[in-house]
Amino acid sequence: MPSIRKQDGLQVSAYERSQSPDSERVKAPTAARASLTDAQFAYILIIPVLIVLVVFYAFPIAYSFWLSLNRFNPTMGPMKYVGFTQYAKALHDPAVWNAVYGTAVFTILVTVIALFVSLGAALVLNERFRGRALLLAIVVLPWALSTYMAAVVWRHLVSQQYGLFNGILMRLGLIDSYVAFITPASALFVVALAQTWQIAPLGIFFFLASLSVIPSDLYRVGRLDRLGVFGRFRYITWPYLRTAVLIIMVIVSVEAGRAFDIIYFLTQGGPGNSSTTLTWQIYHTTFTAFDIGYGAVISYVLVAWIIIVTTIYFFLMFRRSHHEAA
Amino acid sequence: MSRFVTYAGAVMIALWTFVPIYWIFTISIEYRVETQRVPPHFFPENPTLYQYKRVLGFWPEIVGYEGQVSTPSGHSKGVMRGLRNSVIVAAATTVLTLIIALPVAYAMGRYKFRFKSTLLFAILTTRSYPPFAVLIPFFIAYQTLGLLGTLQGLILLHLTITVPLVIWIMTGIFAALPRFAEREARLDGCTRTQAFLRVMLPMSASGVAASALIAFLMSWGEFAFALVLTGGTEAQTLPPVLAGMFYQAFGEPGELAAAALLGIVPPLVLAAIFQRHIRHLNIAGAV
Repeated sequence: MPSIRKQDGLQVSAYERSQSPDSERVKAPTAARASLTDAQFAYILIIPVLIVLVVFYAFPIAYSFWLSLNRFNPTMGPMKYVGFTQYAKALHDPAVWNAVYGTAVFTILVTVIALFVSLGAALVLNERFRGRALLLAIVVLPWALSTYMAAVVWRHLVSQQYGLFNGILMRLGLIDSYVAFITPASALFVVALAQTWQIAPLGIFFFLASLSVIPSDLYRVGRLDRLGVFGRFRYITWPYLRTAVLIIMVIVSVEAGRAFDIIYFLTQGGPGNSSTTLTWQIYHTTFTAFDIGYGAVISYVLVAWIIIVTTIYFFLMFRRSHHEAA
Repeated sequence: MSRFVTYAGAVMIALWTFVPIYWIFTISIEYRVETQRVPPHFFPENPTLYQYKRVLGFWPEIVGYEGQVSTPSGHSKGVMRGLRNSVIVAAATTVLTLIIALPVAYAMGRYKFRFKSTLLFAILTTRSYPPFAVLIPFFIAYQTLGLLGTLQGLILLHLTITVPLVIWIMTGIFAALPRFAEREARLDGCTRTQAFLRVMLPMSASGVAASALIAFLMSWGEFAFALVLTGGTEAQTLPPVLAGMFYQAFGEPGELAAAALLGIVPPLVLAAIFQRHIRHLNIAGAV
């Protein structure tokens, strides 16, 4: 993630600036028994954990690559090496493309809705009004619940037997009997709403933090220059928010690409395969159909998807900062 | 922004956030007949702990709607075991995360050495790798090693999520501590290890509390690993138990709502305990 790499650079350099050349190289008289240099001490602390982490990430990546080259279904017999044929199969598999499509639509829906909800909420919460402190405290609730809890909550909203939405529609006299909210046409949208509900507080707090650094003098100047609400937003607020918006889009898009809990709890990829994303396709192929080798292939499709998404954002950011520098 | 727009927006935010949670809470304190009444009502008429009592299973007989006597829910054993397993896994993950990650973060935040940025970045990239891509190989390896359906196996996998994150958070916090802190400790005769344990660690207590809470919440809310590795076994944690209830217990919405809401009690308790420290963190501005 390029954004955080930038932050990484900042953080390290800020740290390094804080270290005058002699501050760390303490040769305190009583500490002489420590015969290690600082760097050696640091390596001793870091390297064992690093090795374990590498093993825990390198092993599965390598092993699942090996699995993806094999036809492996425990219910059908022993593992058989087939080379890249399963990758070729995936390229022409409608189920895989349907899952890619589902992931793309889901990611776009979640990113766009979450952006609007959290930006709107942050702009409101940035104002002064009575009850603001209380509202700030409860706004974080959905995010504090885990994603699976968010799914449980939303299932109770959209249920056809006891759902709140059905209840409201009926009380308003718009429907005579309960309707299904999860249909082939709407399933992805419902799941995206639930995911948005859970992740939006992250954006709200991130945007609030960015808004809080805008000097209020600027708005006074803006009024003097006869800028309207939209003008002030465009020329004063937006420049401060731009980077935050991109960072939140990266985080939300990656989270949406990896989302699984919400789909498992709300739709199980259905009705039919209308809300099937790559994560659900991997789960289904591997742990329901036991086509383990092929599941590993699809998990690389997911990795490719995540890489593509982050690369797009990387270029967006790069172009923007380039533009800014010019 | 005009007053009206601000207040209208505030009301909408409050409704968007709160109504969904209110609704599941309402269902959890209703009898089934009331939940399924058509047209529905939005405020429970006879609030009751009936559903909670059925799920908790401490009472052999529970008085229900209009005096009907009911036995504990068939899911009660599973839910209680799931809660217990989740507490064990999340607590063990939290403690081990701190033991493993804090020294690394300390070295990263306080010492200069080659490849530091590279190492930090490598640790971060593990965060963006989709867990689903590592799930299959772990599943097979666990099957071979006999770790499938064990709490230890799940704890181990949760550590791969929490450790990199806490290393990242704490590196920043350690780096922000006053720069002469160790020096003074060393001058007072501490070894490096003592300076870390007795001086630097207490100084960053608020950050440690926040990290502990984050590690606990991540482990508590993790679903995919828990489902695949412990689903349907004795080691099943709460999320897979709830998932199982979803697809068996048709027509028992209140029971599920109560079980799900019981599942947010442990994180809430922990958050309440750590709240003071974490609030202190904001004041210190260490993040």
